[in-house]
Amino acid sequence: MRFEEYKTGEVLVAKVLDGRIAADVAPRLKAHLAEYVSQGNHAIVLDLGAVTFIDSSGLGALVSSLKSIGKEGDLVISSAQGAVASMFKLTRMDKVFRMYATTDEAVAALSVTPVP
Amino acid sequence: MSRFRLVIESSLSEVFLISVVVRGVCRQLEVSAADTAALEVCAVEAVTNVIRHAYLGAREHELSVEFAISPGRLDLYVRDEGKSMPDEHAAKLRQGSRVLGFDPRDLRAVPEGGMGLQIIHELMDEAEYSREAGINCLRLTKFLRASEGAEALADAAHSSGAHI
Repeated sequence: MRFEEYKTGEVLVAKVLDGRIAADVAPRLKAHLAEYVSQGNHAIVLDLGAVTFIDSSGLGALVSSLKSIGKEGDLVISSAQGAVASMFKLTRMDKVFRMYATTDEAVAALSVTPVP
Repeated sequence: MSRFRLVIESSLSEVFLISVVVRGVCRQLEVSAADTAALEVCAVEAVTNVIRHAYLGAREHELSVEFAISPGRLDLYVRDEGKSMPDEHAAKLRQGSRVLGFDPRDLRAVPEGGMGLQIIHELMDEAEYSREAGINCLRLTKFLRASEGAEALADAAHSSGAHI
């Protein structure tokens, strides 16, 4: 999987550059997110603006990552749209993840939220 | 009715081909974006289940997706020769399950898997599993609205006589 990453203060923004998150890449997504945390990133914005397809395996990888991060930090979603946003809603994952319309909004929200 | 069959190796890295073809067919039939997305994700979920559960992840097998296009409906038949689907899973397809009825405030209760059949149940108009002569078949059916499919199919057949 390809990502574009940058830090804004204490917040790591990871933009997924691939258009598709399905079962074949879900383990890599999970491993990538785990690596961010192991590198000391505890406030992560995952920008899904370039993603046009996600299946239940992709969502499962995100849920697993959120569980792993636990109280050590935060993982939020930004820029999900179209079929991707619909999948979050259908599976009620939009109630599990904090979701923001833009990455700027997500960064702003994590910047003011103290991370334990 | 127009029919064709796509055959792929039982590998997760090949599943994107299903997406490509579903999107192409839906674009040709002027299927709405919402119905296209529903058909794509359900086909992908069905094929992923075959690879993981019927073939237990082994790559040396084949599976097929047959597209049957007729006025007002699109049927996808996902076929494989692997293990049969357990009865309780087939029942989930027909009746739905509680897998997405979790409390979102309790992260431990949020599922990491097992959502595929429920997604199919919710998004398809019909979903039916059968097994005959060692072949599993999952039929996914979407009824297309009047503006979708029927007119485009009729136009295509009338103007060119070509089969999709």
